[in-house]
Amino acid sequence: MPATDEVKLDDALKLGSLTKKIKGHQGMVIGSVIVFTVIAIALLAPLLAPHDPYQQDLMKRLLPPVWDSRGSWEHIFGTDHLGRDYLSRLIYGARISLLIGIGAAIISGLIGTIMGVMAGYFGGRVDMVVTFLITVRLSMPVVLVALAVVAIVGGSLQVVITVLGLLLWDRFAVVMRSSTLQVRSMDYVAAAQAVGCSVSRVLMTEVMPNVVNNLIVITTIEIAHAIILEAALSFLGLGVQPPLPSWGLMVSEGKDMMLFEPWLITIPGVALFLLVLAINLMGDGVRDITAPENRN
Amino acid sequence: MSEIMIDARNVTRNFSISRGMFRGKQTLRAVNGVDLTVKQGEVLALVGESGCGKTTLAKILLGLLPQTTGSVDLCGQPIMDVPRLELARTIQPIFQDPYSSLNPRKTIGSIIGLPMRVQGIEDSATIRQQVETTMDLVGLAARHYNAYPNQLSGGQRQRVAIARALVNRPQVVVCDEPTSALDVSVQSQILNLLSDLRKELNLTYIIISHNLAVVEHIATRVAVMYLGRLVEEAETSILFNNPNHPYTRALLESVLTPDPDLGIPNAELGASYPNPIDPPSGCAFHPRCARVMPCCAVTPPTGINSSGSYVACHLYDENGASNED
Amino acid sequence: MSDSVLDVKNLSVDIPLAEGILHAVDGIDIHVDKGETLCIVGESGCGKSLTSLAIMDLLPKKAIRRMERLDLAGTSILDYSERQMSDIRGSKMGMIFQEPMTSLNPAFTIGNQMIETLQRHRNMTGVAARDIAKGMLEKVGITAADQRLNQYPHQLSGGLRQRVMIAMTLLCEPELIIADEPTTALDVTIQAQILLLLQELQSEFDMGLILITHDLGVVARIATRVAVMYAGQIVEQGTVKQIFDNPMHPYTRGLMRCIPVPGKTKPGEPLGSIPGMVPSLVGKFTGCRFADRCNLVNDACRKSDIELRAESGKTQGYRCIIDAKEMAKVS
Repeated sequence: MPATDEVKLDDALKLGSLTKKIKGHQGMVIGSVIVFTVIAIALLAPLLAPHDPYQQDLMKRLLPPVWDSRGSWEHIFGTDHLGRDYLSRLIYGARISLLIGIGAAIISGLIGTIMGVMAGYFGGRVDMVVTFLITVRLSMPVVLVALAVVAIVGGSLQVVITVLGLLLWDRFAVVMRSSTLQVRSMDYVAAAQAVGCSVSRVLMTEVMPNVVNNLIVITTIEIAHAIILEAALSFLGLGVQPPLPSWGLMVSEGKDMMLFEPWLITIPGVALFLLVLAINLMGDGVRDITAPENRN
Repeated sequence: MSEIMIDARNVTRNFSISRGMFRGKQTLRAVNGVDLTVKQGEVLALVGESGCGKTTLAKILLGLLPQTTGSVDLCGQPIMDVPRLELARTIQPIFQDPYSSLNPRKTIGSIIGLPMRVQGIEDSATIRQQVETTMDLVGLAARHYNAYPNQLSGGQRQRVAIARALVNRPQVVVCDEPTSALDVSVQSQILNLLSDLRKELNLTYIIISHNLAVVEHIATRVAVMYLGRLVEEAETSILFNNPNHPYTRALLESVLTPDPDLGIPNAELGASYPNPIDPPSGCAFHPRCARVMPCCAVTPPTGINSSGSYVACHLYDENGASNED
Repeated sequence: MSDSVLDVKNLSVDIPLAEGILHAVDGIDIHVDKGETLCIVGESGCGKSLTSLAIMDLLPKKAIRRMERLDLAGTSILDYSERQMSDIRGSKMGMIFQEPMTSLNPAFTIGNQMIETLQRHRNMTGVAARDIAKGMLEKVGITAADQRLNQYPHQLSGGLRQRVMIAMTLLCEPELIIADEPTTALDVTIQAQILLLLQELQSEFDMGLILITHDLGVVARIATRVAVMYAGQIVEQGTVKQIFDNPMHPYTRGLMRCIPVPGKTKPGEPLGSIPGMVPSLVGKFTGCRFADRCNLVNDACRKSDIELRAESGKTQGYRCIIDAKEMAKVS
C-alpha cells in the first residue's frame, strides 16, 4: 500500500541515521582496498619480493625485523629459522591463501548452491534428500575429517583445496535453500510459470538474480573460512607442506621460537587477521550496495 | 450462444498435511467437488473467506496446479493436455500483491516483455513495440520502460502486472484480489481499467475477491465457496437481491456499506471458523448456520440447479422443501 | 468532571531524511470524549498511523513529535518520561494493532501474556490474575476460556487473536483505546463481529475509542465523529452523519465517489476516481496539498496554507478556500 513517500519513510527508519549508512560503506571501502592490495601483492609477487622465498641462508637465521635494534633493511621482516626472508615468504604466502580461499569457495559454492536451490525450488523428496545430506555433513567435524583425508592422501595445495571444497558447502546449501524458499513463494515466480517459462528459465532469470545477494555474502564468509582452515591445517602439519610459504605453516614453524622471536608468528598472524577481516567487510558492503531496495 | 471457456466438473484437490512426527499425514480437502462453467465475456467472481479454497481453485483453473480428481477443460481441451506455451497464450493471472508479483531485479520493460520472449519472439523491436502499446493501454507512461518496480507506486505496479498479463492478448484473465492491496482512490482506477480492457480486448475474467461491494459492481456471475465447496452460484443481481444459502446471506449482511444510519450488522454466525483439516460432518456450514436442521449434521447437501442458479443447501432440496420461505 | 478522554492540540511529526525533513503529520487537533468513537480515515501515507503512535509516544527514534497539548482524561502527559508513559500504556491507554499475527508474542501462552499485563499495571499475580484474565476472555466472546489461556497465539485463528488483543487491552479498564486498522486483516464476517464487540465494550466501559481505518464502510457504521486525513493534515471533520450526508472537502467527496456501493452505484458504470498522487511532504510545502488533484482548484489554492474552516455553530470543519454555500452548489 505505501506511496513513494511511505516507501522512503520505511527505508529511512530501517537504515538508521545518515551517518550509519556512510559507515557501512566506509567498511566496504577499507575492506576492498585491503583485499585488492593483497590480490595485487599476490599477482605481482615476483616483482615485489626482495628475495627468493625458498632461499636458505643458515648464516642469517632468525634475524629480527627492521624495527628492532638489531634489524636491517635488507630483511625488512627479518628471517625465519632457515634464514629465508620473511617478507618474501609473506608475499608469496598471500598467493597460497587466496588460491585456497577462492578455490575452495568455488568448489563448495557450486555444490552447495545447486543443492540448496534445487531443494528450495522443488521441495518434496529433493528437499528431504538435501536436508539429510546437510545434516550428515554437519555432524562431521570438518577439521578432523580434513586431517584424516590429508593424512591418508598426503598434503598438498591441490588436496587441501579439494578437501575444503568438498567439506564447506553446507552453509551455501542452507542459505541458498532458505533464500530460494523465500523467493519461491513470491508471486512473480508464479507469474513466470503462468507465462510459460520452463523450469530452467524460472530458475535462471527469476530465482537466481534474487538469491545472488545472499550468495555473495556467504561466498565471502566461506573464502575467509577456507583461508583460516588452511592455516589451521597447515599449522597442524597436515595442510600445505613445507617449504611452501603458507601463512599457517609460517606460524607453525615459528611457534617453537615464540618467546624470543615473536615476529615469526605475529607477522603472518596479523596478515591472516587483516585479510579475513577485509574479505568480510567487502562482502557486507557489496551485499548492501546491490540490494534492490537501495536502487533509486 | 457464448463459447464455454472453462468447464470444470467435480474438481477436487487434496493436500497431504503432515501433523508432526508421530501423527502421520492427514488430508486437507482444499477444493471439494466443485462444478464451474465460465462462458466467453463473463466476469465470474469467486467469493469466500480464508480457507474456502478459492485461491487453490484459481490455480487449478490456471493450469498451475493439477486437480486430484475431476476434469477441467479449457476451450474444450483438458487443461493438463494443453501445451505450456498455448496455455500461457490463453489464460493469464493477475495477483493480489503488487509488491511481490514483480521481480525486483528486472526493469518494467523486461517484465512486460517476458511473456513474448517465452513464446519465442526474438526480435527486440517487435517486443518493444508491443510492450509500449500495452503500457499505453493500461495507462503507464512510456518513460517507465526502464524503471524498476521499487520506483513505482502500488497502483502503477498493478498496472505493470496487468500489462504483463495482457501483452500476448490472452482470452481469459484470472484476477486474485486485484485491488485489495491498493488505496481506495487507486482501486477505482484499476477497476475502471479492468472494465475498459474487458470490453476492448473481449476478455473473460475470473475474479477472486472478498470485497462484495466490488464484486457487485463488476461481476456478471458470482460463485460462493465455503470450506472447499461451492455453496451457491447465480447471476450477480439475483444473488445480491435474493441470496438463498444461509452463508451467502450472512456474508451479504456483513458487508459494511457506507451508510451511517445502519449500525453494525449481527449475522449471528456464532461458533468460530472451522479447521479445514477437520471439517464438520455433513454440511460444513451447519455449526454456524442460523437455520440448521437435524439432517444438516449428517449428510452433505447435493447441489440443485434451477434456471441458471445453483445452491447446495438442505433447505432447498427434498429434505427441507417444506422449510423454504 | 470532564468527559474529555483525549485532547491533542497541534500535533506534528517530522522525520529527517537524506533529502530533507518529511513533515508526515502537520498540525493535527484531536478530541475524544467518553463513549465517543472517533474514526480517523485516510489512505496510505496520510499519517494516520504515525498520529496514533505519536499519541502513545511509540514513534521510531528518528521521528520528532511536537504538540502544544496532550491531555489524557484531563491530565497532561506531554512531558511524561518513558517510565511514566510505560505506566499508562496498557493501563490508561490501550492500543490494538492491525496484524493479529505479530502483535502477540508467539513464545508465550495467552495466559502468560495477559497475566503479565495484570502484574505490570495492577500488581496482581497467581490465581486472582488468572481469574480476571479468564473473565475477560469470556467477555470478548471466547468460549473455553480456561483452555485458551494455555494456548499459544499460533493455535488461534486471526479473529480469535484479535479478540485476545481486545481482551488484553481491556484488562486494566483503560480510558482510551486506539485501534489501528483492527479488522483489515480479518474476514468480512469476522470483521463485523469484532466491530460489534468493540462497540458493545466501549459503551459498557464508557471508554473513548479512536479507530483508524481506510475503509469508509467501517467508518460509517461505527463512528460518532470522523476526521479525514490527507497528506498529514485533517482536511475535514464532523459527526458521522455530517460527513456522509454532506461531505464538503473535494477529497472526501472524491473518496465517496470512488467506492462501489451495492444498491447505489450502477454495476458496469465507471467508478469515480481521484487522479494524481499524494505530493511529496519533504521540505516546506505551501498551499493546499490536494491542489494537484482537485477538480475545483484555482491559483489562490496554492498561494498560502489553508486553515481548517469551522462554521460557527456547526461541528463540521473542512480545509478549503471555497465557502460552504459555494461548495453546496458544486458536486
